[in-house]
Amino acid sequence: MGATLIACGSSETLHAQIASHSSLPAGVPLLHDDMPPGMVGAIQLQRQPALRGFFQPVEFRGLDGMKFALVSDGMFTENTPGPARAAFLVGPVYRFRMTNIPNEPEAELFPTLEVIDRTYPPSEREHRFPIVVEIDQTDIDAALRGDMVTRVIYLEDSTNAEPVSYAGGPQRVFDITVAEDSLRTADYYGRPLAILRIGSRIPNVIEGPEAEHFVFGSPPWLPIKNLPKGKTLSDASNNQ
Amino acid sequence: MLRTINKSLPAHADSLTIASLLVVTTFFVAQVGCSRSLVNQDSAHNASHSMRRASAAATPLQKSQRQSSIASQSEQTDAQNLLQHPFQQSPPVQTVGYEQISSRKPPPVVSANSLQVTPAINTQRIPSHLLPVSTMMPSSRPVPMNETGPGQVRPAHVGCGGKCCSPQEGYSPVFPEFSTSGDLSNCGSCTTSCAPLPYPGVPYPGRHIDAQEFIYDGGDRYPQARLREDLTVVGLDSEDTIIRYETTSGSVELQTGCRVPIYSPRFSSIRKIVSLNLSEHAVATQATLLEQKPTRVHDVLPPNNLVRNDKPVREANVKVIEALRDRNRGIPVVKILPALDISDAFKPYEDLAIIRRGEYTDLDRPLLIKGTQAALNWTSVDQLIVLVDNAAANSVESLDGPQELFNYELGNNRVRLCKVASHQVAEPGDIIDFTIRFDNTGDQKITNIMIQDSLTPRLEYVVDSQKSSIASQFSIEPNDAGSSTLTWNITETVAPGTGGFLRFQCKVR
Repeated sequence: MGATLIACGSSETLHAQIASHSSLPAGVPLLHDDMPPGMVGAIQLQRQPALRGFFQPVEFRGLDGMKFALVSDGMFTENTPGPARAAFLVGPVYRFRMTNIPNEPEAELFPTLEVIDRTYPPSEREHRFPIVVEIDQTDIDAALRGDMVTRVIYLEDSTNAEPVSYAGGPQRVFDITVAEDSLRTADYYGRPLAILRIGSRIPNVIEGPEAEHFVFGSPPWLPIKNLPKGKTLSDASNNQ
Repeated sequence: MLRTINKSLPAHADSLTIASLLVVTTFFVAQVGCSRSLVNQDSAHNASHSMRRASAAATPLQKSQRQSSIASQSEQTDAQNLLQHPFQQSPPVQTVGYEQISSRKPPPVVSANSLQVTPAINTQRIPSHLLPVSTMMPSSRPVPMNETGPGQVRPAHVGCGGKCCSPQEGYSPVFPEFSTSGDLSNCGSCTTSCAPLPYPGVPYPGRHIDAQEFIYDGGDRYPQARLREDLTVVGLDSEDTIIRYETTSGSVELQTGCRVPIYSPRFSSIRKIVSLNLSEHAVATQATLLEQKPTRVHDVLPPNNLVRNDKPVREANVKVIEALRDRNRGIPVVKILPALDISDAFKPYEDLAIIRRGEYTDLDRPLLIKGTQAALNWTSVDQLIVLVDNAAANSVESLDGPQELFNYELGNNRVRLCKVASHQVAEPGDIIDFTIRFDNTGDQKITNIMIQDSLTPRLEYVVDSQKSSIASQFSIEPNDAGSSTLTWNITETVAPGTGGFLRFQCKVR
């Protein structure tokens, strides 16, 4: 009897472990979340040349009062309170700065964003549907603690989306273990669009090749003007 | 899309069904092809794209230059080899209001009894100036490319702090609407962000859609809805909208309507936190079976091979998705509405002749496109056209190719089901109005009508928002997708040439 129970307990544990991984597709994945920044985007551009040169709108959201600054020509721009919008090329890695962190007035974080795919919104409504990159308190705490946070933002498959409404609330985040691959998990649940990496690394120098390497060559980006919800881009351009 | 259990289909319906299946299959393949599989697959589109780009004879040196073009690099300009930017070539589009459309000579009214669907062969396009939407800007502009010619490489984009737009130098604005005075300003003296003009040899990929970015409602997903012998409906998936009715001859039939897409992408994220003490993370239970032998001679134990369950050293550190517990199911309610408990005033999106009177007129085409499939009217994939009496009719709805318009069926004892939505795009939290119009397009009375709409998981029915223009019993119950299935049981008999409409609201999750 005792041996039977032991066998059952071990079997259930094994089944649970298998079940936690069997949902992912089999095969050897080509892309991993632990690849160096920029590699996933470069492979994406190689596989989908149509993504080259496309500027994907992105919206940064953070904690209350948190400010963002992008890099232009090797220099950080002025701090902009969130939500801040900009359009980024698909492929390159963008370094940005987060300041005015609540309860951490002295702290600065320098995450990176790598846009690896694009969305296809209706014409003249590109500004309404940017990729939402949201940084919450867990990310901040982990980064300030010295941990490395990797977030893969993906587009949910609306057919199999979770029937939960979080309109107006924070973005849904699925935490996975270190044994799992966030890029592969995101690909299972939808279509990965961007990789956000938040660490505690700070720039050592402000000039020279090392500083240029820190900002990944200052790839170009576009600022996006916030438009009213009902307006289209052509309306805004006609008013200018 | 017509199924019956005790009445055979007419001869022409077979070919019609096959033709519809072909189109639906093509549409499905197009959607699946763009759906996903980032990690394991390459789409045929990419393969063909790569072949075309390979034909551009890019040498390794050019490729290296192309890659390094993102960084600062000297500009190599040859404006003579560049075509004018298609955005500049595009003729200005004049948005014409409905008043101007209605001031034209009214087109003939097409009876809905003689409409059918066939794959597009000779597509007759509506002149663009007839449509009340202007989509030439910026939908027609190409995706800016880095390559500007064989051996000509410019910086990929020189927006903030870089060069300004100069057509003589081969630059044009990428997003002329994006002002540099936006949130992330400090862009130097450059007032307009620019990009190099595309090289004519670089193929333009065209407009593309991803089905995952849309919320669909209506139609009939696979597996298709069917009637069982006990007249119950099986195969009603989320997004499906069906109507079941009984004719005076005793046949019970099932039919579906059109599919309404609404652009509403929703983003989520996968987070992984890696700390420095990664090696100490437990990822599995380490329960072991230790062999225990008797230690003393007088122990009343079997001699050997006994095992005991050792205490687990660690527990599996597998986190669960807590949000899945937040499943928000609707509360089943049953509500009986009196007859004609619906406002006579039509909302703008549904104020169409096909909704009001069940007549399909050319005047309604732009609005009908907008209400049913306008969310896809920037695509140019396969599409359906409407024929009248097997002849090419004027009712071809397309600006740039809506993929599906209506599912009209011919013959007796048929019901037409049309569905429109108030919004083409929506964000989480928005309220969308849906209107379902059904008509008895046959020559017999139909009774025992049941209309079911199984909502997609991204749509949440707004309680007490449904209205019916005809006496009906309304019920709601949760479906397998986590949303709701709305059911209207029409208690009246619908005579030929008449019909009714239903209206309800949904909240985008």
